[in-house]
Amino acid sequence: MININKLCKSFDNRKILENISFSVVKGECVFILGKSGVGKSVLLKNIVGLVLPDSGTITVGEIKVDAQRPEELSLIRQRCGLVFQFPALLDSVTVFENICFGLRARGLLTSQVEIAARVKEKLKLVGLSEVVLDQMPTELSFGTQKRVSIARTLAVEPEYLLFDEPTTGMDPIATAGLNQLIKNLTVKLGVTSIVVSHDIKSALAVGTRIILLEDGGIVFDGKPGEFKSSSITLAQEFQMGFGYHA
Amino acid sequence: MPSLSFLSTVGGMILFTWDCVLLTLQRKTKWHQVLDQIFQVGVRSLGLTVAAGLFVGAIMALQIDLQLKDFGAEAFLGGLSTSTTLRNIGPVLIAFLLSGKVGAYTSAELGTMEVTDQLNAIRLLGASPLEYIILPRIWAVVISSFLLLIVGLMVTIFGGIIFAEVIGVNSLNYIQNIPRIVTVWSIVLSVIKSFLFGAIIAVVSCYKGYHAKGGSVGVGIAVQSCAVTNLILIIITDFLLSMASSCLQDIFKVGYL
Repeated sequence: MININKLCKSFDNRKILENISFSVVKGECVFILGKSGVGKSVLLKNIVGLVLPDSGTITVGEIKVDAQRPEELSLIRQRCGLVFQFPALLDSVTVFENICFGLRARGLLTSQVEIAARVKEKLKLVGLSEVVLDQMPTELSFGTQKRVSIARTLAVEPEYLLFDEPTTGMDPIATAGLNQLIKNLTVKLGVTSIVVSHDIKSALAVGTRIILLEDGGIVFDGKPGEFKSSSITLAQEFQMGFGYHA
Repeated sequence: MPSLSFLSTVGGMILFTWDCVLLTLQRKTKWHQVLDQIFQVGVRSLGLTVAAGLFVGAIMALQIDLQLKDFGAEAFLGGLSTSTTLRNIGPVLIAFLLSGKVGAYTSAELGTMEVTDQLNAIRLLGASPLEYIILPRIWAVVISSFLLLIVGLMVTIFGGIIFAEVIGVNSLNYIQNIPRIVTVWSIVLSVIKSFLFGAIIAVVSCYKGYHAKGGSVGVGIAVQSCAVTNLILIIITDFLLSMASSCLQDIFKVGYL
């Protein structure tokens, strides 16, 4: 379980997150929605310790996110895989090297045969063929890079998957494929996901729970069905913006 | 305050260097990556360094010849020109050139990696960007810059010899005059400067790129700051080394000129 308790974060005296508290239990697929700049990505980066909170606590399982304890932070990062908004692939190495980077760095697999098998398995999972393995990231389209990035995160088989706007820059077919992938990971493999997004369509189709952020705080936390009938202005605006108003 | 900011940068760079030294002592340098980077930043700068070296040598020969003519002392052209080039002008000018080519390339590359979350991705995948990305680049830039400076200095001497012939000074006389003025100490000082300038370019460019923040604008600021900091530190280091060399000469009576 990921537990966030009274999390506060400011940048240059500008409050981004204020007293954010919620828990995510195993097997959930939580969509975090909110306008741009509301602090959704900051929230994800807090969970994996890339950004540290001003106050409040975050625990992943029994482990507290604490930069002063690098070994525990490393354990949290092993359990939580974060897919960035932009692919963040290493430009100087091939797709294969990108996907197996975490396996090698963490020493999870040592046999070259096992590593190659894992890489191919995850590549297939994100709907890519082995043709891309020897290509450099810059030779691929944005959408393909993004899928490689997801494969790289999946390769280390994390318990929790954090997605930062996964469908940004992807065409509708790729978006539908990615939504299906997130759903499969949640339903079939029991992976717990937290997805930061603007995409209400994906949230309603895939999410088991929606959290809506506004002005640094949570204004809605409930099931997609409840979100559809919510009287909160922002929730209605989100649905109207996408033609999904109940 | 700008001065405080500069001191803070220097302090940060010292700590950054210390971290890299510790990693090196722990034998965490990935030498195959160092070789890759030497090709990227070093080999590709060779042509430029050679061209610049030739012209620096020619300029020095021309300028010193103009001064010596007034005293009828053209015979000293080879020694004076080579000594000045080796001890000061050569290392500084070539270091400036490399800070623009190698330094800007490295800081822009690392800055882009930082602002596009590539370094964060490495952290999350259980590796240290300092170990996997920075350390190979630091060593590659130190080694490349040092070797390029040495090559550049040799070419400046060659450039001086060629241009001396053009302006009517016998190249054999030019060469024969070199050992009369250029001492072992001149060469040692030149090598020390080359190593230190290479280290400055490596540390500054990696540090600035690694600490870039805020998208493409941040990368631009990092590269600009890298260029300015490199120039300032190279000039200050050159001054301090020249002072130290002068003091040593006075104390031990070594390496005149």
